[in-house]
Amino acid sequence: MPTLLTNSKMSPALARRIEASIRKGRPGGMAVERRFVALFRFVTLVGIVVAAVSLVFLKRRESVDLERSRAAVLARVEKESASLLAEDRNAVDRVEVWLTRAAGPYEGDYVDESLRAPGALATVLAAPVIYVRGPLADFRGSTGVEEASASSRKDPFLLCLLDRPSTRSESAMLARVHAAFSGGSHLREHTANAHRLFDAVVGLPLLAPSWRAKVRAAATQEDVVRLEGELDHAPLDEAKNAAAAHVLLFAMDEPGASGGLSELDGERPHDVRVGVVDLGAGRVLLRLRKHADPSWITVAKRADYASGLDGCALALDVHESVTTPNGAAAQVNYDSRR
Amino acid sequence: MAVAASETFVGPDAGALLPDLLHPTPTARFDFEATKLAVTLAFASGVSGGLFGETLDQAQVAPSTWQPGSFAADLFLQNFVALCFKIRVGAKESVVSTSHLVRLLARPPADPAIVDHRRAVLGELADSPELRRELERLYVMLLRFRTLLEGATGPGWDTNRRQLDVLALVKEIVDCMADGFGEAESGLSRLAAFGQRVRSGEAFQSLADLLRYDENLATLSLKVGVGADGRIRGFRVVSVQKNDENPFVTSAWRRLLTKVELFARGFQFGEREVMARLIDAVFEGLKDDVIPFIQLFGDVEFYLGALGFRDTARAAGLAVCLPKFVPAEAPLVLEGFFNPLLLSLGTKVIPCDVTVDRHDRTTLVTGPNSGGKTRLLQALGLTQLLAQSGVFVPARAASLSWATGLVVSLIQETKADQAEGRLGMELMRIRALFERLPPGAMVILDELCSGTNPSEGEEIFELVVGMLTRLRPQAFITTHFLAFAARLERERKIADLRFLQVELGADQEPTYQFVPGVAHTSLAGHAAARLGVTGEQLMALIEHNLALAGENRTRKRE
Repeated sequence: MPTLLTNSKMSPALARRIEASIRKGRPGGMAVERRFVALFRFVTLVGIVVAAVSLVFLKRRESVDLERSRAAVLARVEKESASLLAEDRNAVDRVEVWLTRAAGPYEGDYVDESLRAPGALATVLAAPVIYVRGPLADFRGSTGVEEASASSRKDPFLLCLLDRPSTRSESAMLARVHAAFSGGSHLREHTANAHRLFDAVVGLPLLAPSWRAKVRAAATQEDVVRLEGELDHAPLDEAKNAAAAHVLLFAMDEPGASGGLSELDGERPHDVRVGVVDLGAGRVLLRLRKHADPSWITVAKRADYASGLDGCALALDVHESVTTPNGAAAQVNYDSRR
Repeated sequence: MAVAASETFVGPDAGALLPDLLHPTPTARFDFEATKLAVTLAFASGVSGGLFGETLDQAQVAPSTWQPGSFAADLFLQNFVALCFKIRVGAKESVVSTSHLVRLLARPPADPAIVDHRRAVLGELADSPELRRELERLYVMLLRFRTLLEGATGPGWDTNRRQLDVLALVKEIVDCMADGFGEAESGLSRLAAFGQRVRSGEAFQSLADLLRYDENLATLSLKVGVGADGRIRGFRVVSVQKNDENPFVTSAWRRLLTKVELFARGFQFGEREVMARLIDAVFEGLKDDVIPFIQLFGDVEFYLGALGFRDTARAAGLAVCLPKFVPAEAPLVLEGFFNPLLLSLGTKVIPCDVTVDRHDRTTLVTGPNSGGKTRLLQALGLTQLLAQSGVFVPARAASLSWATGLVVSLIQETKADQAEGRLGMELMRIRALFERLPPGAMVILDELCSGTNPSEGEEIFELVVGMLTRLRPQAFITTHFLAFAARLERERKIADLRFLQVELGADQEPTYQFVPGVAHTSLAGHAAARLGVTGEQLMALIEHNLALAGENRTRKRE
């Protein structure tokens, strides 16, 4: 077998002896053993090369897959955010401004004249509405607003405001409370245009450029999968609807008087600030402070429905304040009778 | 060139194939294949131990009619070789392979042509100090070669370095053979023929190239700048000259690729492995020409040992010579003859002259005790042995005839397991002598039939001597049966008998010379006086012992 150890300068006899020396190996050494060594080294070398090539190939495939996953996520985000108007992207910030202001020193009750007309409030509230209710203190900073929005759901106040009970009787309001708490079709039907602020808080960041940058910066497939999971679980449609709302509706529960009794569901006598803001026009349509007191509720219902019934009653108070010429400050006595 | 044991080479180039110095027809005297394997392993690992010694001890010798068992012990041949065949080069004395030399000397070749061949070589060496110097130089190199080849290597030793040293020595040896013996006319000329043949071969050229490659891969010329303070400020390479003509010189890239290739083929990765393959290939080409070095080593020791014997004798004021071979009918002449075993005793050796009118005669040697009879017999045996081995004999001049064998009986050692008494053993010795004695052999018997009473011993003696003459040997027999010997001389009943006696000086002391005739006295009284066994000397000892005993008794009483 030819070898690099020989060359053209050597005599053929010497070259043959060198080849023979390589063939037979060291004197006293086993040629078979050397073949095994050579085979082992060859297999090891091939193994290393195969492993290296496989590693490179896997890395490249992983990189391609990662890029493909990133592109898929970005395309989906692009598609989701295509229908979002530029001003809707910072809807949460705009709402926070109004909420922070309303949570400050109370500026007094106010009902815009446009609401005075019969059905005017219902007309306004028939537009896409973004709704939130929470403790007054939470609305003094953006972090608090997010926390308040997380615990704020479509409740009896919202349902009763949008679907006003025919009477102020406990039983009539209780029917709305049941509908609100059950989350059934009645609630969905009558509050279809109302959207939770929380949906916007959670969903809109995923449609923002910063989140897209995060996707692009994802180093591993696991990171992309995690971000895709966030996208899957985010209420994007609700967020877009919330962002597109024309009207802000909020209720802020002021702290109750100290020392008073609380119901089992936490309801207790306290003031509630209610506001309606025309987000498109950038003006307050309604600003009221109402007192909620569950003492009017029958004992049998109070333990379970005090807050719901108080919320529904609050909605009726708002309606009545709008329709009563000087009703901004009106406080109605509730009929607890059936 | 693969050679079988005992294979002979004929033709005009035979000597160039095998540098055999001992035989006119070059002969491989060892198992070539087995030695080749041993040399290969020794070269590879250097742990062969006594490679040279074992090979030489097992080497065959030329066919011989002599049986070493018949004379070697009685002649103290082992002692003779150890004491006289010394090789001294410069101030250093080498340890020779005694057993190999003893085997060679104890089996004188049956073919006189072999003896002539050896005598011619030795004669030329004796006459030419230059050739002797060259042979000694070759011997020293062969000694170094043996030491290197047989030297053990350890894990930390550089095997390549050792093997390169061996190869460098091989080159020196071949060069020495090719250049140092060009003028030789005897068998020594084979060394030149062999050396020149090897040197003209491809394998030797490769060897020379490899050694040059090892010593001089490239020549770098540097220019060194020295500042005013004497410090070196810089240097630059003026030129790099690679020995591109050398077939072992390749580019750095090729060397790297070669290492990778060897690694892939199961060898170690590195320059040493590359060099190891090259060394192996070069040695493989030379191996067949290196193996005869072992045989050559033994041959050179044979001749240098013989020259050493001559030197030892000269240092003692004695001369040696290559004897003249004459027919058996011609006179036996030994001038300035001496016993070489005496050279080691440190005493003054007195040479003598011995003459017998024919070789094929039985000579009775008589004389006083300690007169040198036994020494004479030893010397005669050794002389015949050395002469027929083709080396110097211990005499200034000698005329000897060819003997077909040698039977020597000098020593009468008593053995614990011997079945017979002294006479019985002697009779067994006589029986064994006739069993193995060929016609024309040399017989040496010391004090025949001395183990029984003279009258009965003389009868057996006469019988033996009478029978011996039928085989026409050269026989030398000593005896103290002086009256019997005188009678034989007087009566001339046995025609082939000759008589030599120890010469006595004016003071009746032996002169250690031998003259014709039969001695009249054994001078036992002289020997007794010399050894303190006279009546006066014994009485003095007795009186001394009695006085000592008396003193002891007095001391005990006190």
